[in-house]
Amino acid sequence: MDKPIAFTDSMLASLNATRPWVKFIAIVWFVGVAFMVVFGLAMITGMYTGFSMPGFPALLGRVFGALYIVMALVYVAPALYLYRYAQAIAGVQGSAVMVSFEDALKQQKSFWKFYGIFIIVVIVLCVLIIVGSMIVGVYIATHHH
Amino acid sequence: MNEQISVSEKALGYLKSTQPWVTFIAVMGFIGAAFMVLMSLFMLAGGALMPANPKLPAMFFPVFGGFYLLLSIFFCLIPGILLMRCSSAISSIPGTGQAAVESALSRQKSFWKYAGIFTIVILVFDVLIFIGKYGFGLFQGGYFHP
Repeated sequence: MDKPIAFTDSMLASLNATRPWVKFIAIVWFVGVAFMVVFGLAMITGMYTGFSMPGFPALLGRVFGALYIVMALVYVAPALYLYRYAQAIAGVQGSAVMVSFEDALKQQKSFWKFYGIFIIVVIVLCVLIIVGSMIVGVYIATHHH
Repeated sequence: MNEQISVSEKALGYLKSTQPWVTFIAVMGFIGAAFMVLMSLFMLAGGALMPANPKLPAMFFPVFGGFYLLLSIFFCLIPGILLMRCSSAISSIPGTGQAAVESALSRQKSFWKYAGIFTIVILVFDVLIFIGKYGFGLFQGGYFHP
């Protein structure tokens, strides 16, 4: 950078206006994760009766429950990054301006990186499931008489 | 800000490394929007072309088609545009400097504000659906099981 970039009031104002929204989304996200854990536990322990129909294996309900809890654990990370982002913005004042500003941008970067990688993983899983179902379908069609 | 504080190279580095991810997610948003518009068109065309199914309410396909169209705009297209604007501001930092950093921060604020309002709208819808479901028995009460 040829000329140093000044940290202006406009930048601070944008960050301060971002903070309540990011904090709100992080809290909603945490509540969602808590719901997922409760729902997952209910499925594992058999308290959730939505699956209790004839012919539905009880074990599958437990597997769904475990998957819910794993998903909830994965979803904690982005919520945590957003919450830390909001906290870092609150610290952008006094002598710690640049340290907190750097931390805020770092947390936001981590959030987007996590989200990007998450999307890539989901797309790869979708492709694998489609290809896997095709292979299983062809196998069943050719070997099942 | 009384004394002049400079934006550190480290802070600029974090912004720069955010840019490819934000761009990627924005592009995914656009692709998602395109798929949802297709889904919506299939739903609308399906409703118009298929013989009437007595088990489904007449408004089933138009309502779901319209729902997908709204979702493609508000869940994919608008966030995608807001993120792309943020990404382009970050890419112009090396040439433009201060104004580009200001613009990047202001545009990411717009994104998060939109995301927050969207979350509130979804939560309100959830509450309305919950009231409709259990308060008025919309689903159990025979509307979908005539």
